[in-house]
Amino acid sequence: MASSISICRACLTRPSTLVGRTPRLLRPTSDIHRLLPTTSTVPSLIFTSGFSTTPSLPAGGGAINRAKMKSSKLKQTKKKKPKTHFKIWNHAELPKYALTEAMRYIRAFEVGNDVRQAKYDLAVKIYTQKNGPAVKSRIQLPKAVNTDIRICVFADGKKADAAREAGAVVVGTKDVWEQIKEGIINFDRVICASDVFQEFQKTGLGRVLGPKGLMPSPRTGTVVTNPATIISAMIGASDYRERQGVVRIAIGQLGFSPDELRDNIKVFMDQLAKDLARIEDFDKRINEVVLSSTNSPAFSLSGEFRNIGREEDLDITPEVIEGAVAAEEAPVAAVL
Amino acid sequence: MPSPTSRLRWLRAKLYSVRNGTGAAILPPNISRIALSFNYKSNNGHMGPRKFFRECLPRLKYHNPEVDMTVTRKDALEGPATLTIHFTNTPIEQELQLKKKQPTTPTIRETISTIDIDMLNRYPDDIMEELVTKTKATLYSEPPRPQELEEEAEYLAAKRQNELKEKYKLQRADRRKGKDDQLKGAILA
Repeated sequence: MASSISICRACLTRPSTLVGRTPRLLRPTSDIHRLLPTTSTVPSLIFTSGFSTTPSLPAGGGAINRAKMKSSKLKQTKKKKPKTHFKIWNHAELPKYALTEAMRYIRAFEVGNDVRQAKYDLAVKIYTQKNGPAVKSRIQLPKAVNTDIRICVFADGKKADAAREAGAVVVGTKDVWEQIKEGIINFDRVICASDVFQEFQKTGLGRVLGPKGLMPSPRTGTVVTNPATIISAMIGASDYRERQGVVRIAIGQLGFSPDELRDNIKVFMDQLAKDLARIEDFDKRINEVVLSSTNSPAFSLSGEFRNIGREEDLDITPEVIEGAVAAEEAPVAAVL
Repeated sequence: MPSPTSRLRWLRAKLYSVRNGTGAAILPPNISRIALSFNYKSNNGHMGPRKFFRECLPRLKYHNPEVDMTVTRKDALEGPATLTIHFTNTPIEQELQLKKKQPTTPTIRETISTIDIDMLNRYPDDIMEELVTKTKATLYSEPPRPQELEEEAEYLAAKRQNELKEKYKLQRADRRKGKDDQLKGAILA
């Protein structure tokens, strides 16, 4: 088969050489004879094409047809409408996990890691348009996740002193902006006092701060008349925003108990639902809620706290203890 | 976000491997803590401990969520590799009550005695065997699936295979047809 194909390719690329070689190719022992149907129109066609310079079929007929095919395919693809929404999947029949069950698995995958460093991570898939307004907000969780946030405040005079007292790490105006221009950014949040804001806008630092999501703007509530007041609220708060149709947030440290995590998730989901409802004229709905952590696979949550349907399977503790008591009485059996 | 099917297909396998295998054992309730201590580098017999930590410890943690498991690793190239088991005398009944109120909450329990296991130059299976004998743990085995589920799985597998067979048949026919066409085209040219 392979040899025949190579011949064919040669024919397609160099038709002139084929004309001279046709008699040799059509010897009864050649591969072509075996591959073709014995009594068909093809052999006669071969002869005509081989020996006449103006055959009934054009020499490059195959190639032209192929080109036509390609163009028709291209037309078909062009007809497809561009997708306006982010893709969502039907996950109704796929397994879902209760919170405690997911946590138990996650704790197993995260064994040996620092309980404070590893975080539970919540991803909420949203049915939404690709363009249009995105969700972006801040939330104060019942139990804060990040307690060591470094805040930078652009202010001068009395406001700067007040901000420093409230817990801001970097405070100042021109000297701080120059530092940022040089690339020294050792903070996670930026607040700007409203009287310095116009001056700040002239510096053109949006190019540096913008991609990092640090740019203060009145819309996100980071340009305030008195920065000191919101610092305390900001230290325990966490930001979240919609990216590619998914809202992600660190929802808890790995050491949190199921109750604490449940409260955090509840509060977050309530606020997110309100955020989605607030955006008018755009249909935004929650599609899926997925819990994962720094080093573990992701679990699609069912919305239950404990698995009700299979409680007997999960809650093995009483049996285990009985088994252990029996094992102490008869250690040999336990070893086996 | 990847599609749910692609996520869950390998998740199922991953979860099964966390529930079963070497390390899947249920420890008695008088154990409060298991502490591992070994090096970052696997030189001088520290490979076994690392394998134990990566393979067996997640399984042990899954079956014993209440037991605290800590891992400390050193930058040294030599030195001991030990596994320390901490025992408590917290009564069982109190434990049960605690569990009913707040499952999987780590409670601070005093240690009364400890046992050390030397992990140097040993395979994870070997370490696990010693752990099971010393703690009198019960090995866990997955309960067999109910008959209905088994039958359903078989049915689904057979169905899937038939579908694939037909799909491959069509693919083969297409390929053959394509090759014939190519050949014809070549000869005509």
